[in-house]
Amino acid sequence: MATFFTMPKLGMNMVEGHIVGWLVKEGDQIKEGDPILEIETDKATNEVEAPATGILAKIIHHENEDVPCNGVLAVILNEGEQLPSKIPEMIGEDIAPKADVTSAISGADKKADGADMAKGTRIRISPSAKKMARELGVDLNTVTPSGSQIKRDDVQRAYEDMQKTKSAGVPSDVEAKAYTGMRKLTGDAMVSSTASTARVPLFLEASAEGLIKQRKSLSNEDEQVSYIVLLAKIIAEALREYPYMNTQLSGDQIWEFKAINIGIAVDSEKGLYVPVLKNVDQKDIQTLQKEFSSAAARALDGKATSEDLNGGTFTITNLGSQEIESFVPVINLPECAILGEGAITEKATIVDEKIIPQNRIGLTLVFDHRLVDGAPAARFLQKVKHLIEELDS
Amino acid sequence: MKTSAISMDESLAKLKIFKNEVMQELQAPEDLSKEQVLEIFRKMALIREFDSRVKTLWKQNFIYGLAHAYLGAEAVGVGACAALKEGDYITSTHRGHGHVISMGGDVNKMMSELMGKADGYCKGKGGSMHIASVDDGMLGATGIVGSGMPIAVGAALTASVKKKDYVTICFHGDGGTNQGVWHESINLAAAWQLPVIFLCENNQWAISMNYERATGNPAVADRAIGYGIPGVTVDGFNPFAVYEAVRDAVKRARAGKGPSLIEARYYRYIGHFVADDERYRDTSTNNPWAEQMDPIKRMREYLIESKTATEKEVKAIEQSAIDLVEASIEHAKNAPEPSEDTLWDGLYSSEFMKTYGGK
Amino acid sequence: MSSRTITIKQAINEAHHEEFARDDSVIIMGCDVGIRGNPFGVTTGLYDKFGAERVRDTPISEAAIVGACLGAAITGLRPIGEILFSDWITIPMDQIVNQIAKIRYMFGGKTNVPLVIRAPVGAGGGQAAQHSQSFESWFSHVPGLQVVMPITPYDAKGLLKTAIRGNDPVLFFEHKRGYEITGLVPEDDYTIPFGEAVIRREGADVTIVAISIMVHRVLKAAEELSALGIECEVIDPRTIYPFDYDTVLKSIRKTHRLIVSHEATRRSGIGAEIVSQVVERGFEELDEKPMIVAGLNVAMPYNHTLESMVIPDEENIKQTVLQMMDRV
Repeated sequence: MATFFTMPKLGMNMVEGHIVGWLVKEGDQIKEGDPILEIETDKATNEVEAPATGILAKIIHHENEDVPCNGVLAVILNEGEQLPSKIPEMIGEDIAPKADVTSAISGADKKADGADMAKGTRIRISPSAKKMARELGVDLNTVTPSGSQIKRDDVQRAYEDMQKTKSAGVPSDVEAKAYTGMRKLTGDAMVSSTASTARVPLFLEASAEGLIKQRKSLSNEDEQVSYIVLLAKIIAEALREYPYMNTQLSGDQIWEFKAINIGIAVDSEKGLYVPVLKNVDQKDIQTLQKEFSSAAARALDGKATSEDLNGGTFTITNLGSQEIESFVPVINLPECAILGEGAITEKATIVDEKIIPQNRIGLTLVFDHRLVDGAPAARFLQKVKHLIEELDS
Repeated sequence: MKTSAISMDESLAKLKIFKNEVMQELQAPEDLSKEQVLEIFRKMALIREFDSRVKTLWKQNFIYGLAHAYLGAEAVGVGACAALKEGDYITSTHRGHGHVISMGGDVNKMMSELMGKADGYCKGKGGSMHIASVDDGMLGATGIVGSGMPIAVGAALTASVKKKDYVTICFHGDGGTNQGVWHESINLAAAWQLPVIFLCENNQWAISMNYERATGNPAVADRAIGYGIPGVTVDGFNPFAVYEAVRDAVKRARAGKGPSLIEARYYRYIGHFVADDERYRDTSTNNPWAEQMDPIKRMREYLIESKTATEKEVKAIEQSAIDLVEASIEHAKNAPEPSEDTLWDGLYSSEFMKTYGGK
Repeated sequence: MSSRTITIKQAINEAHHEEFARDDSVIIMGCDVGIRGNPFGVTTGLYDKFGAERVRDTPISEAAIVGACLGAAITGLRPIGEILFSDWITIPMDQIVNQIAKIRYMFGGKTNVPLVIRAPVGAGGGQAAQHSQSFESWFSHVPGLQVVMPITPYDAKGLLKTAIRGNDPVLFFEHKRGYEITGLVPEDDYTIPFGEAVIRREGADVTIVAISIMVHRVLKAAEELSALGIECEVIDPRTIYPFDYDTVLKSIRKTHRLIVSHEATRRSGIGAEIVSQVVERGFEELDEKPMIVAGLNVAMPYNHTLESMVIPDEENIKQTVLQMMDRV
């Protein structure tokens, strides 16, 4: 029987994928699980695997095409089979957003015809306004109608705003570049998080001696274990005990996640990536480290997959290598909290009434007070500290 | 004191009683030469042959749309136009083929037009019902009953204003006599004493409407009194009778004595149009005109009897008609169709089309 | 070339006199055109100057009059037929629609039809249902005809001359309540080609195409609107067919708003054709839906208050513009 190879939904917010290229040709013999297609979503490139073994009998969508999720991309046949007379366009629901006028995902010129893409209420646009928008390159989705429909004046205003933000009189001694791409995406995410969460930072310091010892013992020549992976493991344990820190706000519900997937922020030239380690509580450090290393490497190369980047329930971020002792990171929405790891610094500490030098690490937990109150959050952080310090025993 | 007005009863007593028979014996008038008499017969035979073939061609769809035959009316058109000279005009009805031939038209051009060809009289734009040989003075057949009436008056008006001595014959049928415009036109022509001859081709039938049922007084010529113009009735199967009446009317008109009304009374013994099945009447011989129907037969017999021509000569004339028509069919079948870009031609003058496009 | 101020009536009268003198095949016929010089005085002096042959009083026989104009036109005259009220044009409809419009075409282009039918239009003054109508849309709908509607003395004279001198039939619809409108008219001979609109007032906010008498009412409304900061561009097309769409489209590209106004009934009036043409040819220029301000879809009542409800006026225009500009 024919198998329809469809555009997969690789992320919660994914509605369509951009075909980067086919890794096989029409007519090729393929095996289930082989990567046969490369697609791109918001920020990541993904390989997609063949859903079945057989012959890639017909490719329907090609390089550079945008196809909605569940759209049929190709047909896989068994030996001797014929192509079905009717090939459906889509298998399953069209998961395009039902909101009024949402942000364009790809290409301003494709979406300039704003009314066409919205699936809910239609915004009326006068023919002249449409033409003007097209000529000026104004995205109609960014135009607010002053009356019941978008008119020329509205487009004109939007255009002028566009011009202002484009080049608000760059002074002669300033080098300007577009606020776009990863930078903008990250910026938008930061603003969104900051604006919508009731964020509260909690700070404490823990002895890092155990961490240092652990790290040394677990590392070898091939694989260096990084502090942050150790921390991830510890946090996973703490989250098992305090599952209310492994939650998300979803509409009018609080979702508590069974899986403990910890994202670790990675700074790269291209920007800020957060590869996610899945089921951290169930894996050993070596596995975790391997996973992290490869994911981080992919991220640094700009080749992070959605599998890499999605599904996180908690995030850790570390500025220790820059000698930062403590900082207040931004919660990685829609998660409940984020832990900022500072540098391990040798400090004068009082132990058993004596002042000794001790390696200490600063930890900042920023949590969303909508989901958790101060004391419970503090208990969680306290547990983390204890777990860290128990390593030194 | 008695008033000058008469009573209703007295006025009724003045009414003529409708008479069917207007039969007049065939007798060539003295002012027609032998050649002219034979020419009359030739034209009649040509009309007869042409419209007989048209019927067949229509059934074969070489000719389509609406076509109306002049069969049986040959004596009227030919007899009347024999009294005209170069420069005179006629307006026509929907039975235009006979009028074109009566005015000396070209059967090739006419057959081409009937087949919608580019070299037809109207370049394929008019067809049978709007056949027009304007250069011969035939101002076009029309599908609107009575519409030729005021046009004839207008043509006569030009003669009057421009002080020319041409006349216009307005051919129309009994059906047209009850159109409002019939009255308006005769009245206006009479008021202005215009040189127009109103010739009613009264074949007693307007499709299925027998004339007696259509009007209070079926004697068309009687109406002339109402306009103060002469009105006469003649035998429509007799070209000489028609000729004489028209000749006299033309003389009057050219002399500035104004319009006349002539009723050429005959009988439509064919259907209204070429595919009319005539289920509305009994076409058997229960028909007072049966004896004298077929003016061709009457003329043929007369020509031979009066020794105007031998049987051989007569046959030759009829054969020439057959040949001419046969040739015209051959010509028309091979003639080219009008090209698509002639669609807009003739809607306006060429100056207009050039300036405004006209679409 | 000097100009003087005269009325539309005088301008039409002058056109007659000058064309009659210029070409002796020009004649006129209609009820009361001769001795009476037309009940409105439009043909004054023609009968005395050119005689009864060429200036013909007729019986009340519109079908015969118009039909005779056709017969005369195809045999060498250049007749003008006058139907005193355009409402009575229903009587010679067959002559106009089936004969005059089509005779050249049906006969393969063999005939010129150099005739003009003058039939004054226009409502107001309690003339009531059968004396207030305007049928330019009917005749615009018949290929083969031309329709002319001037509303200034300059246009009336120049367009009538063009109509008389042309070889195609023209329906000339002067406005019977516009005869006293004054304007400058050159002394020398001139003609105006058909299909050329005039911009009576320039503006950048809304294009108003006004037919016949509505031109003057729209101009008045435009004055009032100007005080409110709204500038109307008023276009007088002058001829209904051929119609100058280029000028209208050019204006739309500037204003992006269209209103059409005519005194004739709204339903299936000429405004509908104009709007549909502009929408078809200039859709992308429109920022608002086009509006038509026209006579209400009712027979014209006698009572003067009711009558004034039916006839579109300055206030109707003003309100429509304000609505369109979201300034209500």
